[in-house]
Amino acid sequence: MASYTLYHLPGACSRVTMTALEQCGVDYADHPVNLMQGEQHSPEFRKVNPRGKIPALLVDGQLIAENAAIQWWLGKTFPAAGLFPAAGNDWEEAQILSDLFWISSGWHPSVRANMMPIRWTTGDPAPVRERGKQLVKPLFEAFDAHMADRQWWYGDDWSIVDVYFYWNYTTAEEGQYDLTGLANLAAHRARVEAWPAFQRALARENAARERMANAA
Amino acid sequence: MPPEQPRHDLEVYIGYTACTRVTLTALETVGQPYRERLILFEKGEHKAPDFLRINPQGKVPALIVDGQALCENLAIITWLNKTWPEAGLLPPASDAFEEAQQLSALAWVASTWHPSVRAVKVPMMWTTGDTAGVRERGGQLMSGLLDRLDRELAERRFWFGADWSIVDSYLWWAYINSEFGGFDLSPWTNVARHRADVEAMPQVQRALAREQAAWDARKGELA
Repeated sequence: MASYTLYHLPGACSRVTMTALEQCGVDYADHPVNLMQGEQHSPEFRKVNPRGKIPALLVDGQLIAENAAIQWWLGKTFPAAGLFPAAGNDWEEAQILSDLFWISSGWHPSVRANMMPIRWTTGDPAPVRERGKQLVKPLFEAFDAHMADRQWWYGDDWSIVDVYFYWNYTTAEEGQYDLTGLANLAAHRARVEAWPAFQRALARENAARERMANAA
Repeated sequence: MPPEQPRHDLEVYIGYTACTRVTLTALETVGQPYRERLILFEKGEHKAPDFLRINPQGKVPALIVDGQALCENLAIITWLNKTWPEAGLLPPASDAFEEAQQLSALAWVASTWHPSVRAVKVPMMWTTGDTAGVRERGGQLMSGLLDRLDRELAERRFWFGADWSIVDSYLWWAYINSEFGGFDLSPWTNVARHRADVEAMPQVQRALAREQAAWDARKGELA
């Protein structure tokens, strides 16, 4: 059995990575990286991930960086865990990658404008947040429409993509985006929150939060 | 006789100087025939019903393969590489871990570089208000990324080593677009050398010529 260490921050998009690890049922260590205190720039963390980003997964000491790449690799390594629908060929797999990387490069940076507008400006964050709302609105509305006739993004079966979408829309909500009126999205949210691997990941995040508070 | 190549009908939707340059470079590397369709964002063609039927997100690139659409550069590159592996878009991967490293590099450009370039080049993408602060912040983000890239390129010619891969063209597209936004790239000397090496690649030159011809054929419509 390989050894796994996840570098993460409770509440950050590493919540999706943690849910993936929980879904795969692997033993892993977790190390919170306090971004608020700039710990991602520390020499210790730079040794782990020179890009200074979380999530970062060490597999037997070797790094996989970028959330979507980690999720994809876990899907390949633990196919029975059902992180992704079974792809019958390269084309179907490419369509799944398209969704996954659409979220990481299309949704996430826009959600950041809502939640952390100071990440995109040295000036007044208010108009950046306003722009963030404009950017996520059509994404969330399209998601809501897509979910009208299904339980999960791909239909009847949960996939990690559902948790990735969930993390984006709930994080925008933390950034003052009002999700009211998106009934299918609300139903999806409740389903994700009831998913056992997701609940285990939240519990693990809470334990990490306590360790961070005690260390402070 | 070489083994028979897979045959597909390929059509790609592009924008002028957009990140579809990377897609075009990938197609030129693969060497299969394809048609390109230039979208004029200035005319709102990306929001037109015809295009939204192809890609509901109204984004380029979109690759139409035998009538079916595939979106997102990274997914297109991966599919092209799986279908024509001998073209050398990415180094051969011996296992899923190596493949994940390649996805990680592409994801880093798509989700970290690309949005930062946007802050420098089109800061109004990130604000409804004053763009100066966004542009300044974009410059800070780009400096950090270029520092990192410059250090990496001190040790090797291209991202994965001695040989070009599509990751190099994606990085190249990102940093030269920050220059289009007025960002000064001159402090990063290894990046400058990388730029010259990428621009000397024949498939890059063919992709640029193809993009330019598509633009020249339609730019009069904007007059």
